Amino acid sequence: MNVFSYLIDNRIDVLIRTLQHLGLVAVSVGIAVLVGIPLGILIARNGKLRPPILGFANVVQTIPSLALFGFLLAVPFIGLGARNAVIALVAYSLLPIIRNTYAGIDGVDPAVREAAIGMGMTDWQLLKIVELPLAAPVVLAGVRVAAVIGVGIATISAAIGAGGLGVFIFRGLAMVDNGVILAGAIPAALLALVVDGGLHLLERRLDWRLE
Amino acid sequence: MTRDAIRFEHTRHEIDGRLLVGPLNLGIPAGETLVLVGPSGSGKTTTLRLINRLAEPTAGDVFVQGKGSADWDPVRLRRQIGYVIQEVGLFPHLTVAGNIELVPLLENWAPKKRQARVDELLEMVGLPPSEFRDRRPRELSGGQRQRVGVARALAVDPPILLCDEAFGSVDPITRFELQNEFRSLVAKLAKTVVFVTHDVREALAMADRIALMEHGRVTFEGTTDEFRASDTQSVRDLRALE
Repeated sequence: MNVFSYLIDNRIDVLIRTLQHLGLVAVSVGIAVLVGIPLGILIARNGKLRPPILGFANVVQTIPSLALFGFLLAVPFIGLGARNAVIALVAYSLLPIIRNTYAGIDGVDPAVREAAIGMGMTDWQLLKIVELPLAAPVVLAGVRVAAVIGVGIATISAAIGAGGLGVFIFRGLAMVDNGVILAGAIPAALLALVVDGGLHLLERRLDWRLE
Repeated sequence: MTRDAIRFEHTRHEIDGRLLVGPLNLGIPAGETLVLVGPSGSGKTTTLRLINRLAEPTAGDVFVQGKGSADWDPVRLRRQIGYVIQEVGLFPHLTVAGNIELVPLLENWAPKKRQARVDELLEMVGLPPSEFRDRRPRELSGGQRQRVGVARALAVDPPILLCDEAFGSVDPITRFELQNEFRSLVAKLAKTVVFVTHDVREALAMADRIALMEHGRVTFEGTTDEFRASDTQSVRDLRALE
């Protein structure tokens, strides 16, 4: 079937699946930000926790996504559906966010940190006034990577009944119809570009080097 | 014994059992500028950091305004002490005004008072406020950055200033200017100053008294005249560099 006529015939469905897809990614990356940034700060402060936390996030990243969805199916109270997909997507989003938060804070000029402590900032003030604003562009670059990866991986979550644009891809595979596969793949690719561009704009606004 | 603004009593600083500084016995009367001079690795910077507790004494004590380091809350102590370092450490994401008003902000000054203080300080260090207030640190020359660093250190009018190679990263002419202006500024404001440098000429230009440090200890201490007249071998070696 021609991809364009399929898209036009199913436009409402495509729109719903796109929003569903975006929702999955937004919720997952949102949770990963809430978990990952504090963890990044923690390992920037505590060198002993760095190898286990980065190691764990790294290992999670290496699990093939289809397999991770499968493993989570067997876990009580998770099973099929959006909850399963969100948990997996959060797991994949953590590494770039934790790593970039750590790298951003670690990259702050030691003279700047010394001056801040020397002028009598508490640890919390140092973080809030100096380290996080200076690290912000790097942290946000990590969030952007996580979101773009998330848009890609979320297509697979259709396999466990979480919806999203992957629904068309799996349907097309079953029908052996490239047009239907593309009806999921093209909007997913466009969505990745839009998410990437939008976060890039935000990143530039937060970048003190460009002001 | 006089009430020194800063006093080291048998102060030692060790890391992993290795003695970096000490034992130090040194008093700095209020209003005096003491210059710590000596080769790199002689413990000058560590001595300075013992005063604002960026380093802790492992034995002995450091008294600031008569209070031992254990009695000071480090944050409160540091707000009483202006700190100027070689790389300046201006916050690159804040404007000149934002940098200078940071300690007043931490001390909860009202915005109007902060603004007035920023302008007053910029005038004091020779930077016209209307021109410099809203600039970013990277839009300043090295000398201008050092001036902002001094203004920032003076923001809440602390009785003590610590300077670590404060004018180390600027050209000789700017450096000469900064030294002269700094000298008259701290005299006018009656600050107690501890100034670290490896440069004998700078030491002689800035000091009321000079302490020569070698291998973590003070091997000479006296006025600039006494420094010039001293027969101590290491002082003579240093003078040869002048």
